[in-house]
Amino acid sequence: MTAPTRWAIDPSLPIYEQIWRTLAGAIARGEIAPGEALPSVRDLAVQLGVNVNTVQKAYRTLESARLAQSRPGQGTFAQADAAAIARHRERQIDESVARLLEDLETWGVGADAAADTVARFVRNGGSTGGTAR
Amino acid sequence: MTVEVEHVSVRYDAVTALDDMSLTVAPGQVVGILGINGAGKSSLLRAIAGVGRVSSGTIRVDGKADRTALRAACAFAPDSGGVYPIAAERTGRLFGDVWPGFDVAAFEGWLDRLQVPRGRPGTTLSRGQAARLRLATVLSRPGDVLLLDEPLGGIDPASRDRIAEALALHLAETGRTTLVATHEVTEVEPLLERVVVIEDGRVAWDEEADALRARTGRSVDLWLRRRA
Repeated sequence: MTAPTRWAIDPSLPIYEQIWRTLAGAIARGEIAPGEALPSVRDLAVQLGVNVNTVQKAYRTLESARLAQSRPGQGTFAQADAAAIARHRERQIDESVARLLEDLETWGVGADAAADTVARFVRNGGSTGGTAR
Repeated sequence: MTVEVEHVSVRYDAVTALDDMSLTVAPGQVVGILGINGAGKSSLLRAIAGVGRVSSGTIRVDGKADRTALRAACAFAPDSGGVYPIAAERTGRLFGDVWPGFDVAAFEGWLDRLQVPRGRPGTTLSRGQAARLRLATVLSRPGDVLLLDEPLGGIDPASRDRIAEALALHLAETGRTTLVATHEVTEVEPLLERVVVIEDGRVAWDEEADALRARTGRSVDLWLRRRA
């Protein structure tokens, strides 16, 4: 396969994490079909211009998250382990919510008020406006 | 091949280039040797390559410490020179004749990939072209340890990108143990697994590149600039 999404490496974040998270996302969303071969470690390293051992580490992380499986002599393949995908999805959602809460906090919206703020945003079709009613 | 530098000092008259330095590089590891000019990066690479002075201490590659063994195990590209008043493609054939294990076919391939002009004396090449010719040469040399001294030194961005791409391909294909001495990190940063900062002939910092990024939230390049 070609890489599911073209992505550029951000040198300010751990590179192996960017690789495994991008692939994990693509596998969890079904963009890489279960059983489909991931690029070889070498090909992906060359394509991204990164170290082979870094890609290796990303693949090992994918395997221990049960989102991929390596078959000796054949390569690494996407795995459709429903529980693993659910865990990954949950973790991503947790991180998104944590980021949102952190950001709202800087605007004086505490965690206790966050749910109401989000509900109002959805109800008003994309605005939390009219705080003074 | 494991590279072991044990308590190595290099002294030139009043100048101490390396001061009791110790460093071990695991087989297949790609390490950036970073630091400002004059920090001791070149002295370290030359010593490992078996072509530089070692005043005290021991250097071993694959367990062997004699200079002949070091020279055989290391493919070393110095930061200058390596160009001759003959055309690039003739340089390759010449090396093939005099240098056991030099891969002329691979060299030809690298000349194309790195877009080194043919038919022109090496001495008339631009700085960027000469740097690409040096890289083509070292990548075609035998030796399990690759030592690159400032492969991106003072050359144009397009040449730097080409060099980084060629290096990524070569390292993915060969898995050579590699030390890259550079003060310009941007282009090669994603290739480095580990960064070693040298200051005044000593190891001032030694960390996995991804660990450094996780710890600081910065690229190695930016971290290094802030550190200076």
